[in-house]
Amino acid sequence: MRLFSKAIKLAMRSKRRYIVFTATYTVLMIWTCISLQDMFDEIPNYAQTLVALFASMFLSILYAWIIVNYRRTEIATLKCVGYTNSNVRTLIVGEIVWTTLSGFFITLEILIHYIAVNVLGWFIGPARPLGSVDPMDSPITLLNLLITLAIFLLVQVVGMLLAYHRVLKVRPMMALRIMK
Amino acid sequence: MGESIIKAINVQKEYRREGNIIRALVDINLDIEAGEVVFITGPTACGKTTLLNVLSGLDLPDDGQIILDGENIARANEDRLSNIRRQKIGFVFQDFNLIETLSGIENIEALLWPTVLSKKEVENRAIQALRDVDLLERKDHFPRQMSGGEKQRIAIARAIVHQPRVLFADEPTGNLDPTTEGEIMKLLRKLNEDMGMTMVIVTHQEKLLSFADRVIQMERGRIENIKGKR
Repeated sequence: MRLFSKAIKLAMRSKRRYIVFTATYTVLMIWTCISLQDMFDEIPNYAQTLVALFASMFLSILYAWIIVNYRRTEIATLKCVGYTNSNVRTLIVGEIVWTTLSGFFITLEILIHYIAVNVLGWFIGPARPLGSVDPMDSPITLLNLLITLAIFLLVQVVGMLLAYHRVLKVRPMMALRIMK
Repeated sequence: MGESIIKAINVQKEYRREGNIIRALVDINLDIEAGEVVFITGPTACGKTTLLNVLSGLDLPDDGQIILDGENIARANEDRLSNIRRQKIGFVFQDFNLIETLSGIENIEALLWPTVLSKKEVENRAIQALRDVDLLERKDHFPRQMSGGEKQRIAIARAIVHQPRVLFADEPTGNLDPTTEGEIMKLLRKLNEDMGMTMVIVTHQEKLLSFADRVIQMERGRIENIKGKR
């Protein structure tokens, strides 16, 4: 648990990358949620949903790959000073999961604000603000958001396993030598 | 004679490079006593870093035994080696290898994160290590805010925070100016005297050899001679 909390610290200290990828995740989550909603419409748009899911999957794997490559020197050093493969895995998983969760929380925040603005607009503003018939209507439902989060976490794990496989397989000093 | 802490018996190591076989270590036999400061020296590509890597379990020999504190680490698996490194070995690198996004004290604490020690105990040990290297006032600074000598002091504090039996250092002064390299060597010598820690240090700088109890001279993967007290 301590390693997981330290992983969060490491993620947030890498400010630029954390902000860029959290923002990317947020956009992708909103897109995937809307696409999932479209699946339940009268005329489902399977193509858009599939494109959204594949884009999410591709970017998730890309992110996992980038994060591991960026941290390779640190991973190798930590292994030199006694971290086991399992310890390293916890740090990497923690960082990736935290960034994904950050995207989820921001999307949730946007959803809450969207509904709040609609409800507020219904009572004090012109009727049907933002084009909604029901003020509680939202293009993103909580269920879709949770499904999207589950998909993202699943895809993250697959991407991460692929990405750091080679780092975990090399011996610590070899890993350092490769990077120099 | 004192207690043997590291013993190398008939150690061999080869590399393949562009189809050629390079004999990096040839028939290495060595016995290092607890509390000794041993320097490994020799010309470029003579096998001194390979020997350090093999003695410390970072690399495995092709043949022979490495007995570290009574255990043959040449046949240990990766998890066992990780545990040995965490409990018995400290490392100091030429390039410091600090994590840039962590402060000085966090870099030291990082070594203890996977342990069962309490948060307070981890902090206390890191502070003590910073006191040992005389750099407590820089504990909250990040590596980018430190000089080379200060970075190396943090790296040394990280290497001793778990009170290892042996400290391995690969060219610890290789990236430092002459004044700072003398300070770092005096610090290592002081830690050896205060804590009784065995030290195995690779260097190609002859002027530093006066800090050693014994000097192992290597040449083409072999131990050419051993100078010193024993």
